[in-house]
Amino acid sequence: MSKPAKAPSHDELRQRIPWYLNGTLSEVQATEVRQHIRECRQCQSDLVIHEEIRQVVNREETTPIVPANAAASLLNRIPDDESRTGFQVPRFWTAAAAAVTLVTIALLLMSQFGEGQRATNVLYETATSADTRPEMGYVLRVRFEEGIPAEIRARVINELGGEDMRELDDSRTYEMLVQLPGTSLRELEHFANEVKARSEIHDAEFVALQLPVR
Amino acid sequence: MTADVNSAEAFSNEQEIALLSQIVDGDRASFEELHNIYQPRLFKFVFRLTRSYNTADELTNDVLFTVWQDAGRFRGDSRVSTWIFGIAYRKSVRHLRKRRLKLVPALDQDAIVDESGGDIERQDWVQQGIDQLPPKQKLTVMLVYYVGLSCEETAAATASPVSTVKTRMFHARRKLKKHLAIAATPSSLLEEEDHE
Repeated sequence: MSKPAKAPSHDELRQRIPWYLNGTLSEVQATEVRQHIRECRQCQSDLVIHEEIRQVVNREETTPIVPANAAASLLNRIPDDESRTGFQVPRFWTAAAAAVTLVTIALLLMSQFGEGQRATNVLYETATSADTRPEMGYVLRVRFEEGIPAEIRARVINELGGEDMRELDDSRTYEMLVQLPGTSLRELEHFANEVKARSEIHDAEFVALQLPVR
Repeated sequence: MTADVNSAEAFSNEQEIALLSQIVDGDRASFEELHNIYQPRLFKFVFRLTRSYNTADELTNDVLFTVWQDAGRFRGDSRVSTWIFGIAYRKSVRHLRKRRLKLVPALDQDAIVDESGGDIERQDWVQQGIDQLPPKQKLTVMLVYYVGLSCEETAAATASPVSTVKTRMFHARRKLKKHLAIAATPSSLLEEEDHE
């Protein structure tokens, strides 16, 4: 014979109030909340606040008209041979594959500028808009978690770009300039997310676009 | 009653799953259908968060581009809407943190009372309080009350435990309550408290 379900506590019922208001509780759960609220002043007070929040969030207001042909416009920006994720790839290997790509690109960049020269010799202006240009430089900034040993940092840096990663003053943050086609902004953001998912990494992001000065 | 963001679905969840599986195969027509379903909803969701047309447009496109790219990652253990708004949640959190957006400047206490002695509307105070919540709390509030997700769906969308979702709502309510209490306190009394 199964034991009767334990009655929910005051705290459990109090926590259910938002979902009582948005109508997603089961019938049984909603009834328990309704009955409890009748007798509990604290929960009555909570209900009032939550209801105010719900009303304000849903109040009618003018929203700008959504741009027309947005789907077509977005689709036009996707190349025909755009590769998409069709299966689950372990995060490390995705990041490693992207890191190899970046290292390759960095090496190609170095070879373009000749022996001893680096991409940073090119004058860049900083911009924050993703203009459509044939090529753009992206600054990838990676910040390590506190306490990560130097040898592990060195290993990750090596995977991400080796000596092209420049250490910033605080010794936990590194930057790298990468030059890629303009449409790669979102792929790189995807890559930054993969890097950020690693246990050694506190944060990874693109902080600026570097456009070659014409 | 929550907004019609979720209730007036043109497609059932099963139909949306079918669209996703077509998108995995590169079917642009299916992507356009899914785009047309979600783009207005996402746009409104992000616009209400950011109050910026350009940002809402940019983030919405970003989310839908990710849907195109990562359609194969959808495992079917949640509704399609939960998965898509989960993407919107993560991108919005990053955006709000990176830009350190101040959606509504803090109201000057002295500006509350106008010449006639009237008060700013309470709803505007609540809105200001919501706007000042930390990104994850604000987004959780939006997912629960604007999108209308259940507790478990909110947890799935935010990749957080159910307990964390409940805690965020708890703290959001507590902050709003404190914010409204300050709003109700005459500015002269607040100055006295400051000097004590």
